[in-house]
Amino acid sequence: MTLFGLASLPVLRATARERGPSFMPAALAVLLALSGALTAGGSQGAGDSVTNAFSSIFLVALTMALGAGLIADEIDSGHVQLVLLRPITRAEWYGGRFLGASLALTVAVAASWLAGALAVLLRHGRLDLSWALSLPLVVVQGVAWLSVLAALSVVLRRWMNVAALLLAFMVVGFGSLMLPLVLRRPELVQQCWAVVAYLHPQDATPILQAIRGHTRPDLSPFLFDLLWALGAWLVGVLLLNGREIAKRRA
Amino acid sequence: MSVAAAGEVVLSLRGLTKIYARRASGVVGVEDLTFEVRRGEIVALLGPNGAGKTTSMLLALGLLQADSGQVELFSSDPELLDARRRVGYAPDAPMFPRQLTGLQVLELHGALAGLSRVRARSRASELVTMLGLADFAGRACALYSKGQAQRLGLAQALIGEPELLFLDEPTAGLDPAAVAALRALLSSLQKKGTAIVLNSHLLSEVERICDRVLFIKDGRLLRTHQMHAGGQRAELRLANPAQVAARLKQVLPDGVLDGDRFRVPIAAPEVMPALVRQVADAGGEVLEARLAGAELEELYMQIVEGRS
Repeated sequence: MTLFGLASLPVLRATARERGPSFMPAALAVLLALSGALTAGGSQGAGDSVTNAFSSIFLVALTMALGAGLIADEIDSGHVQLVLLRPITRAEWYGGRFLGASLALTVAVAASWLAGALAVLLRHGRLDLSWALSLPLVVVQGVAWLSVLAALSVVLRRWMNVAALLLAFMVVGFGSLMLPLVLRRPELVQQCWAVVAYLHPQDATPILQAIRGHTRPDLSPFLFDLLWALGAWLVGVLLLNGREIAKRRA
Repeated sequence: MSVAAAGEVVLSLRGLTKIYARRASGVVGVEDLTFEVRRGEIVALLGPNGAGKTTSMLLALGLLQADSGQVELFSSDPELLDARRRVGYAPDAPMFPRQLTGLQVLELHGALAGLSRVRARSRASELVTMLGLADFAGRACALYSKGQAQRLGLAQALIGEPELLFLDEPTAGLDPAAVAALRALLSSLQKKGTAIVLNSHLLSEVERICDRVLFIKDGRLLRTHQMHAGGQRAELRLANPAQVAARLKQVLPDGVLDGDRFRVPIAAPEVMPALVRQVADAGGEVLEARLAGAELEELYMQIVEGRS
């Protein structure tokens, strides 16, 4: 029972069941839905229910809560040994874990999205196209981050994948600010930020703004996020295949 | 002939080596481990803590990569999915996803073992009843005691109806009633032809259910000992084992000569005098004769601890 040979469906189901209803992700999902309902239909238009700055905070926190120790928890507890003794490949197990967490994220975002839609309908009596598109854009960006967290979780213990990601974010951000100062070339700040934008999944919100402004949207941030999601998935599987799963008992 | 003797080889380890560290007495890990397990046979791995018993199991299951040597499950590579479909493993102190209930864990493993959703559910319910999990199967695994987690670990190992079962300290954390139930369960599995590799410190349990015992220390297989096949055994200490070895083999072909000890399966203790006469008639000088009751403990002390 696999999804195109990429993910084990029983593992996917069990992961969504296990990750979704845990306290932290569930609480963040409720906050995200509330924020979706309260902020929808604001000054930016109806499409901002899950893409505004306020909701983004919860979205980032939810992604981190779902991705913390996603792979490492199973390796550390030894449950992965029991699972991998079954007739499934490591890649299928990894795919099941990753997509199970992605499903939990999608359900939470969709709940916020629907809450936002309901609020918009009550206030304005109509929905625009940008609202419909905001769901896949936000989900793909979240899944891309989740994919990075999953890959890091193969090699880092427990929730250290989240810590490593935050640390990397701070180091890169600080470095891109400091480098032009150290080199005494302040004009490099813009170029540094342009480079940094490619070091992580991108914000696809400008696509919605383009649609609202009736201009042709640049889909590259969305495609770039897809690339991150798939690329990090592949890296995660390769790392897992090279890793010894069982540990010597102390 | 026992089921075990007639059965095909389901597990074969040849020259298996996995060394974490070397020390004066041997290795941490296992070195040059060679043995086979046949269908319907119960084999115990005995040895002190850190002897390499769990490492042997993990290597046999393909969960650890060996430095050298070869493992075959059902005459094929343990990595092959078909071989893994036929294997069950219950680790010592198993851990499960904390948010899932016992039933959800069993359904997951049933589905992974290739059972349909309906069959996985019914098999899970069956095992829950059989292993006394009913009262807590609907609870999240985070709330399980060690004994409850142990039972759940056993249930997940059995859910795919494996032909080869690995049990690492299966009685740890179990109450006496559960140990007795486990013993009965293993005997019934053996009758169905399931081969079982057992790692336990409970010598009395090993003695009661195992066909063969492998003594392991410092990563090395010290000796293989054939247990009695079903009935009791007599042990005779001989003054002249070398002189009568060939004659004893003719007269009592089921007997095994191990150093100066001659061990023979017997139907009942009453046949002991007749057995001693038979050995004496074959030229054996019997110094001591006894029922092999606390045999395993004594053997363990001799072989593993080096006490005479």
